[in-house]
Amino acid sequence: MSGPLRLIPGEAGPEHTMQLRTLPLKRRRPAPPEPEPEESLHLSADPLDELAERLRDVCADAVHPYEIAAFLESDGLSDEQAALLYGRPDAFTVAEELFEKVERRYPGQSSEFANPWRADPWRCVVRGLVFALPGLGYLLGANLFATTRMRFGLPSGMLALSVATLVSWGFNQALAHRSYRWLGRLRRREAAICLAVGAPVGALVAAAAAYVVGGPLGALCFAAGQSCYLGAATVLLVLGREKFLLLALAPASVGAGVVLAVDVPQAVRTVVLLASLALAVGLAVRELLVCIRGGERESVELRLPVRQEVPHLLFGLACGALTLIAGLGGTIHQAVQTGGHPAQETSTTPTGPAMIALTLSLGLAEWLLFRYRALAVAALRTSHTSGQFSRRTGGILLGCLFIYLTTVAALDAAATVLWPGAPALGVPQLGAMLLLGGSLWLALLLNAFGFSWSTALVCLAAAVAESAGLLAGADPIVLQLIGCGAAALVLTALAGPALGRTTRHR
Amino acid sequence: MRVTLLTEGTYPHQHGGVSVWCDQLVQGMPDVEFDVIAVTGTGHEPLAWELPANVRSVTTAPLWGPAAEGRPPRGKEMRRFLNAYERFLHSILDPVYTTHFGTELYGFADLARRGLLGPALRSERALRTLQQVWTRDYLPTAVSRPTLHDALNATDLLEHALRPLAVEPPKDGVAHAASGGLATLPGLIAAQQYGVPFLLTEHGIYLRERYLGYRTGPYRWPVKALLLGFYRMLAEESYRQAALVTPGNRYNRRWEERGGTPSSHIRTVYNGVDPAAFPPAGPEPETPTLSWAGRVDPIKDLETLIRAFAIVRREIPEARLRLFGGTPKGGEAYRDGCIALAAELGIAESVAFEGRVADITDAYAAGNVVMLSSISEGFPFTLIEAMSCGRATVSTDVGGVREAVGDTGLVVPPREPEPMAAAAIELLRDAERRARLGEGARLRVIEQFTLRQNIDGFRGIYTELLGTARWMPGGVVAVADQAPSPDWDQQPAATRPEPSEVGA
Repeated sequence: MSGPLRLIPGEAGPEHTMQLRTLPLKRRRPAPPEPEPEESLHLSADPLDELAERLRDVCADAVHPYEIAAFLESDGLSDEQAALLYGRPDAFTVAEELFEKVERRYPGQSSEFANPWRADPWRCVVRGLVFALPGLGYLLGANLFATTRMRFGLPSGMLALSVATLVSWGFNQALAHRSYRWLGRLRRREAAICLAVGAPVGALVAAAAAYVVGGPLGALCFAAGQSCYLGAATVLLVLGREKFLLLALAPASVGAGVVLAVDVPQAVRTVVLLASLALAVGLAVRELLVCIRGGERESVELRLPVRQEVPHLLFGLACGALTLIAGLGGTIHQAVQTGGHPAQETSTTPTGPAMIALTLSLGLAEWLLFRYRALAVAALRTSHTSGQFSRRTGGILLGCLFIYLTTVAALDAAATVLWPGAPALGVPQLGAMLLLGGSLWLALLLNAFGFSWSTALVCLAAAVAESAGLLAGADPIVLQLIGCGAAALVLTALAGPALGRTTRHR
Repeated sequence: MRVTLLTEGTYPHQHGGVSVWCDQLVQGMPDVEFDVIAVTGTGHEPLAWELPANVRSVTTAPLWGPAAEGRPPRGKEMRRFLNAYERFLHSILDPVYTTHFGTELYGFADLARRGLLGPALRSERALRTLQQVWTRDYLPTAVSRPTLHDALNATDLLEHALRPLAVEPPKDGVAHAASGGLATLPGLIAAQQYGVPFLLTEHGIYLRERYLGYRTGPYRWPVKALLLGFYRMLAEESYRQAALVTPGNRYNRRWEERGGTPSSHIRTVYNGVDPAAFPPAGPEPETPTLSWAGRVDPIKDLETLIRAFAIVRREIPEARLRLFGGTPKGGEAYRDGCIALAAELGIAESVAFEGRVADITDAYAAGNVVMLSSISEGFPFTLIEAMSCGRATVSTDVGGVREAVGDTGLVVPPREPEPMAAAAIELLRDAERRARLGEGARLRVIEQFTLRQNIDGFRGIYTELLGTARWMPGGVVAVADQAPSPDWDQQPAATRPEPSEVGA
């Protein structure tokens, strides 16, 4: 390209060609006006009227006579022709008169506006599934935790697994964010390299953390496997291959279904788990190779500061902690209460259905994030004042939150009914669950708008407070109601005004 | 002698006519030290030209890339900025306030160099200012009912367009802009703050291209009005402040005079080629052939050329059309469309897309007649190169084509296949006339359009501008208005436009 830089995307792309094609040939060479009959005393028609009629669209859309002059010139009208055909001194005068003659028109927003925030609902369903299905792995691996033995009052291995989970969440959150930044700069190859280095490191760190905490070998192996799976899943999700991940989860899902129906020996369960793990890792490696080999090296080096991933690491840790407390709060509470002495066997986790509902709903959460942004852009296109816009986005925010929470509640109710032997859902439990879900969604929303530090700190504060309370022996449900409730309140208070600002939606 | 060359989207990062000219300029004056300030896209573009030793530095002013991360100014400074911004917007939208444009632009330059302009423009308060201003009843934008989406779009475009203000302007020598538009921003600042003489060369008319570009753009009326208003005011400011405006052809003078350039400040300097590098092409091909050279691009209107050739083929069945030149990235669809058109017209086997050639003179030698079918041109190199090679030409009547060809080739209206075909047939059937025209064309280039003349012209202008001990921005300049080239006097007075402002 030579000449002025384009400030408009596709200013002279294929559309330009289209435009040239649609122009009728010989537009500017009208047949000479019919000679008026001699006897008529009427003035002869101004040939400009006919030109104005033919160029009505161009003239009506023009912002200045120059625009019409530019068009006339590009169509080949010279000053000589302006004089010859229209009796005007030059093309500029013709343009000025046309600008005067034709009334402006101001079409509204075009309806076929391509909102940049469209989301594919099916993709979100698939993502919800791949977030939820790994939970089934715990069913298959339950025996590996050897629940009879206790360590610090917890089923042995649970602590190691929890620590590994936390580390993986934090690390992979930061890794995914960094890779998305590369993707945002249209550098898929760099994103793949970042993932290829980061995912194994994350898996190693998480597994090492589990090893340091210690536990039975089975649990440690499970923790290591989970760390690898989470690394591979991060790769596939960031690179947009959630269908591959769904494929990898198929053995584990089928296996879990069988386990629920009949008792299966541990060896078979382990094989099934390993099959899913191997599939996930294999597909991730394949995808990375495709991206790294297929992409061309960019000529210009680009560096992204690592510092910006810190809030995402903290946010991942906080989310992990809040979710773990929601899932295992009861068990930990009992352990703290009995002072580390095994009291009774904790066989079923009453929060199982809630966890499934929450993870499944993450797909919807993502879709609603897109929806919120799409609706906010639509609001921009119809608002004429900042006040109008703030009110509209406030309404959209509440609407999305309402849809999300009702769905979580419905999923929770459905999972409780379907889960064999699950205790009935209490109002406090449900409330705690909804507050957690609401906080997470708001945090994700604020994160998407770049408020990474404030959301990370709010979530971290809630997580630390809940953990401290839990270790001090407070009731986990009350703790969650207070912790997540406060977080939800603070995040809403942040989101309302911050997202009501027009410039946030550019 | 020191010259700062100001470019946008051309030298030294892109190929194309203006870049060729820039390269000729710096290569042709090895004793002059050049610095280049290039307005670019992302700032990551690799150099497309090897820089000679006398180019001391290349500074890029990227329009795109991430926005500055700084915070907007606070307190009193922010209030001052918002007031200035309000006057700036008025100067763009309301002809009554045009005088504010320059003042506020120079004020913005100070903010920009401290990294504050971008954040200030992107702030919520600036957006509200725009929304309040352009919905006022007395401004033409009010009737179009701008939405906040429009305001955001307009602010973003304006913010990107003003980024070159952050570049450190030259403090001495000559500031020489190779095109109008955003490239002139550092030159205007240099002229205003350091009294550096500002020279503006226009090969095409930047403002006209902008009007055409935005016409089909995705933006609503108020956004278009604001941005094109900005470009119009910028053009008028640079025409007013330039010590000298040197259009690449007389045709472009019309816009420059219309934009308020004093007639005495305009001097046409034609592009030139080296007649030794483009020697007579030698014997013509045996088969009657039309050749064309250039970038495969819609603006070259190859469709009309192909349609015209279809008519030629009906008269001269053995005729061939050979098209030389590369297809730029993104232009493949256009090329494929042209190939499809040729197939549709049943002349596919006689039309050849030859692609890029190592030696462009081969392209001219390949034809009995060289064609130019563009719908817009400045002073096209391909045409004077073909002329220098002594080939007869048929070209469309756009830009400076008529001035270049004179009576040594045929000129036809653009976008009309029939007259183009008639001219080509006429020449293909008359070998004697072709030879006469080709000879005349080469002579015309040697007399008027040599590289040497072009470079000496600019060297003379640099010396003149630097010779003026005190150069004041805003008009008075001690450049003697030399006698215009003889062509000027032939222009009938009636067709010379009044230098009044359109719609002002």
